[in-house]
Amino acid sequence: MEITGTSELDPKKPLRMEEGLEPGFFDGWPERFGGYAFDEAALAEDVEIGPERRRHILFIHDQLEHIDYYQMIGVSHDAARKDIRASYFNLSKIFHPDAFYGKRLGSYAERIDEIFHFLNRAHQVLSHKKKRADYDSAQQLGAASSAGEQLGAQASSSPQYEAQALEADAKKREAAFAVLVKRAEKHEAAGDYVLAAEEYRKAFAVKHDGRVALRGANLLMRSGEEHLDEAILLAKAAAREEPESSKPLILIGDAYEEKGAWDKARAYYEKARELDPQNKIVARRLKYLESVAR
Amino acid sequence: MERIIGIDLGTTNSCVAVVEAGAPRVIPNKGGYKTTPSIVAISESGRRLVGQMAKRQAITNARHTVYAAKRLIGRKWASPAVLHCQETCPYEIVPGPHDDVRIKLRDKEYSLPELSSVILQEMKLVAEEYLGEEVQKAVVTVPAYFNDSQRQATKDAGRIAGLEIVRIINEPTAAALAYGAGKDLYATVAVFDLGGGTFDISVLEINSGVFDVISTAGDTFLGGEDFDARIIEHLAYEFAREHRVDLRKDEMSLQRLKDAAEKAKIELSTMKETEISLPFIYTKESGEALHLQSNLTREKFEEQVADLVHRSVKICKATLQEAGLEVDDIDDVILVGGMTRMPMIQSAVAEYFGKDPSKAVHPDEAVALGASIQGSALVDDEQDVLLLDVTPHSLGIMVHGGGFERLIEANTTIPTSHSHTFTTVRDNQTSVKIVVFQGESDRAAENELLGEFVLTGLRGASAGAIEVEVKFIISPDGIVSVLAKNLETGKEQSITVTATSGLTEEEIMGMIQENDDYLVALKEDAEIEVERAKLSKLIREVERLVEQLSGSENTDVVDARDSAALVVHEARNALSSRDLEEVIGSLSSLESAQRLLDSLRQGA
Repeated sequence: MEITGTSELDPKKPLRMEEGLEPGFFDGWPERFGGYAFDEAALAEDVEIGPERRRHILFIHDQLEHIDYYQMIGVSHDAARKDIRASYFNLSKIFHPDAFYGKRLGSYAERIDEIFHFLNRAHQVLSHKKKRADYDSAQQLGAASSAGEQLGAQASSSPQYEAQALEADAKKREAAFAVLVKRAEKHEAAGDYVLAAEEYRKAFAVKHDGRVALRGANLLMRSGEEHLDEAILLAKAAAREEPESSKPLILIGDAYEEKGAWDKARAYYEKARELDPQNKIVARRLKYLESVAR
Repeated sequence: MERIIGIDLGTTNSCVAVVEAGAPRVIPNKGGYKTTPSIVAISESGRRLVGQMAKRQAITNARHTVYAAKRLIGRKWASPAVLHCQETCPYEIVPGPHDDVRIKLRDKEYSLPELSSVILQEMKLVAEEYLGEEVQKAVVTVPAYFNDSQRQATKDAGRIAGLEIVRIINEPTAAALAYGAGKDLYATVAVFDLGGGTFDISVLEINSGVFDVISTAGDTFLGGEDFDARIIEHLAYEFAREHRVDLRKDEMSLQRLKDAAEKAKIELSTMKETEISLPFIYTKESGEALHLQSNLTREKFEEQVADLVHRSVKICKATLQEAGLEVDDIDDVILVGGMTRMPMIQSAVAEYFGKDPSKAVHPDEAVALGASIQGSALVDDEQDVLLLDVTPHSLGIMVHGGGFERLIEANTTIPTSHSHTFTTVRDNQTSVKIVVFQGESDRAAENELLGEFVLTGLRGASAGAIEVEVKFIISPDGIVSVLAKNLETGKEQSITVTATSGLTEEEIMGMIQENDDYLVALKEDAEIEVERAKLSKLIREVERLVEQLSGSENTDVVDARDSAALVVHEARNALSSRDLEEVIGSLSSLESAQRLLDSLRQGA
C-alpha cells in the first residue's frame, strides 16, 4: 500500500500506473476527477490508505449514482466480454475489501464496500450476454423517456440521446421498441389509456414509427380534456413521420374542435382533405364547422 | 505479520495447514496423522475426547460419541436432515430452544456449534504445538452449498473455541486455490468435491491470481456417509435374513457395522473384493453369540451406490448449464474429498467431462492448504491471490400470497448488497415485517427461513407515505446482514430479529465461558496429575527409607518412623482426594520427613 506523495493531481497528467487505475479511467465521467472538490475532512482522516487511493475512493464513491456500468468497469459500450472481465479483475484487485484487510479504514470501509458492490453488479450484468442486452436497452429507455418528455418540441434533440442512439444497433432498438409497445398494449387492454399513451410515446422516441404516436394520440383523445394538448403533440409527431396519411391530421382536427379552436380544426381538416379527398368524415366535419361558423 | 491458519472442518476428518515462507503445508497431529477424525465424545468421567481418541472408544461409548456433527450444524429441528440423523445416529438428538438441534451427551445438552468448537480447538492446538506459538485467527472452510445459518453456526463455533474465524471460504474454492495459487495460470476448472457428508461442484476461472467462481451447486446430503450407509444396510439385511436380528437396533453393533462398512468401502477402492468379519457382533438372550461374516465385491458395491454417483453427475450438468458452459470449456477437473478415491467416481467424472481428472492436488489436504493460502493472502501483500466467490443460494423476501421475491440471485459474486424500498400499505402503520429466505423455490415457505425482521417505530401516516430502504448485505463469508434506513428521516431504522435457528449472543457468551472453565479445569487437572506423580514417587522413597531404618531401636529413629508413617498415611489420602492444595501440602510434609529420615540413616 502506497503511503508517500501528497502532490495535488494534475488533471492533464495521466494517473500513475502503480495506482492501479488505467490512464484516462475517468474520461467521460459526469464529473472531472481533476477539478473535483474533495472533502478535506475525509482526505485528512487517519486511515491506512495511500493519498492517491483515497482520492480515487472518494471520487468514485461520490459518482456512483451518476455513472453507468461501463464507466465503472472502465470500458466502452462495444467492449468485448473478455476485456470487460480483464478490467473487472484488475479493479477487483484494487477495490475488493480483501485488499484492505486488517488496515485502519475509518469511514472509508463503507465506501470501499459500496464501490465493490457496484463494480460487482456492473460485472455481473455486462459479462452476461442477455443481462447486458437488457441493460443496454433499459439505458436507451431511460434516455428515451427523458427525451419523450420533450416530445413535440424535438424528440431526439438531447445530445445524450443522440450519442446513445448512434451507438445502439438496430436490433437493440427494435427490442426496446417491442418492450415498450408490449407494455403500452397491456395498459391499453387494462383500460389505462394515459399510461398506455405514455408508453407509446416512449416507444416513438426509441423508433420514430408514426403508428405508435398515432395510437398514443388516439388514446389520449379518449382520456378527457386535460390530455388534448398532449394528444395534439403526439399526433403532430405522427403526421411528420407519415406525411401521406390523413389520419393524424383528422385526429388533430378533432382535438382542436374539442378544444373549441375551430379555425385551427378547420385548417387541419382541410389539409386532411387534400390528402384524402374522398374521406366522408372529413367532409362531414368541415360541413359542420362551416355551419357553426355562420 | 500476524499468522492466520487454514482449517478444513470436515464431516468425517479435519485438517489444518499454514503458510510458511510462502509455501502452504499441512500440519500433522500428535499421532503423526495429517487429518484428525471430526469426532467428539464425552467419557464417563465427563472428559471431552476428540479425534483419534474419540474414535477409538466409539464402539464402547456410542451413545456419547458424536460423529458427522457437520451434517446437523445450522439445521432446524424437524428438518429432513435432522430426522434422518435421528434414525441412523446412535447419539440422542433433542430439540433446542430456538427450533435448533441439541445433542444429549451424558447429562448435558450440547449445541452443534459447541461440538464443532471442540474440533476447531483441537486443530488450533495441533497448529500451536507445531508452530510453538499461540494461534488466534483462522480461515475455515465450509461446503459451498452451506446456507447462511450453517455458515453463521460455524462462525459461532470458532468464537466458542476462542478462535477468530476471519473468513469462511467454500471448500471447492479452497481446493482451487491449492491447485492454482502462485502459478501464472489462465484456466477454467471444475472442482468435484465429494467428502464425508457433502457434495459440491464449483466452476472457476483462474486468471493469474484471481480466482473467479462462476457457478457453484451441491447437495449437503450426499457424501461418504451415504455410501457407508448402503453397505450397512446390505450387511444388516443379510444378517437379519439369516438370524432374524436387526443389528442397527443395537448401538454397539451399529457402531461396529459403521466402522466395518467404512473400512470395506476404502478397501474396495483398491481391491476387487473384500471380506467383512465381525465376530461376536450380537449376543442373543439365550446367550448364543452371533458372528457376521460377509463378502463384498467392488461390482456389487458399485451397483448399490450407482444412484448416488449418478446424482453427483447430474448436479455437475446443471452447474455447467447455469454457468453457460460446455464440457469442452473446462480445462481441468480437480477431485477433492476422500470419496473421490473410488474408481467408479473417477470414471464417472472422466466420462462426463471427457477428460481424466487432475492429480495435481491431494484430495484430503487441498482444502486446508487452500484455506491457509487465503489466510496468508489476507495479511501478506506479496501473495497475489484474490478470491471472487459467489453466494450459492438466492436471497429474497416473502411477498403477498407467500411468493418469494429474489433480491440477490444465486451465483452472485460476494460481497454484495441489494437495496429494496418498503412502503407502508395501511394508514398509521408503524411497523413493517420482512421475512427473509434463502433458496430457489418460488414459494417462500419451501425455502430456508433466515429470519424475520420487524422495522419498528415508523411515524403514523397515510398508507404509502412512509418509505424504508432496506439493504441486504452478503459478506465475503456468505453471511447475510440487514440494514434499514428510513427514507423520510434519513435515519437508520431499528430492526428486531426473531426466529433464527442460531444461538443468541447470551448463549454464545455462556458457552465461551463454559469452554474457558473447562480448559482451566483441564489445565488444573494436568497440574494435579504432575503433583500426584511426584507425591507417589516420594511416598515410595519415604517408605524405602523407613524400611532401611527398621532395625534401629534408637528413640529418634522410632519417633521419625512413626511420624513418617503418619505423613505417608495422609499423603495417600491426599493422593486419592485429587485436591491440588492437599497434594502440595502432603508433598512438603513428606519432603521434611524424607530429609529427617535421610539424616538419621546417614548418622546410623
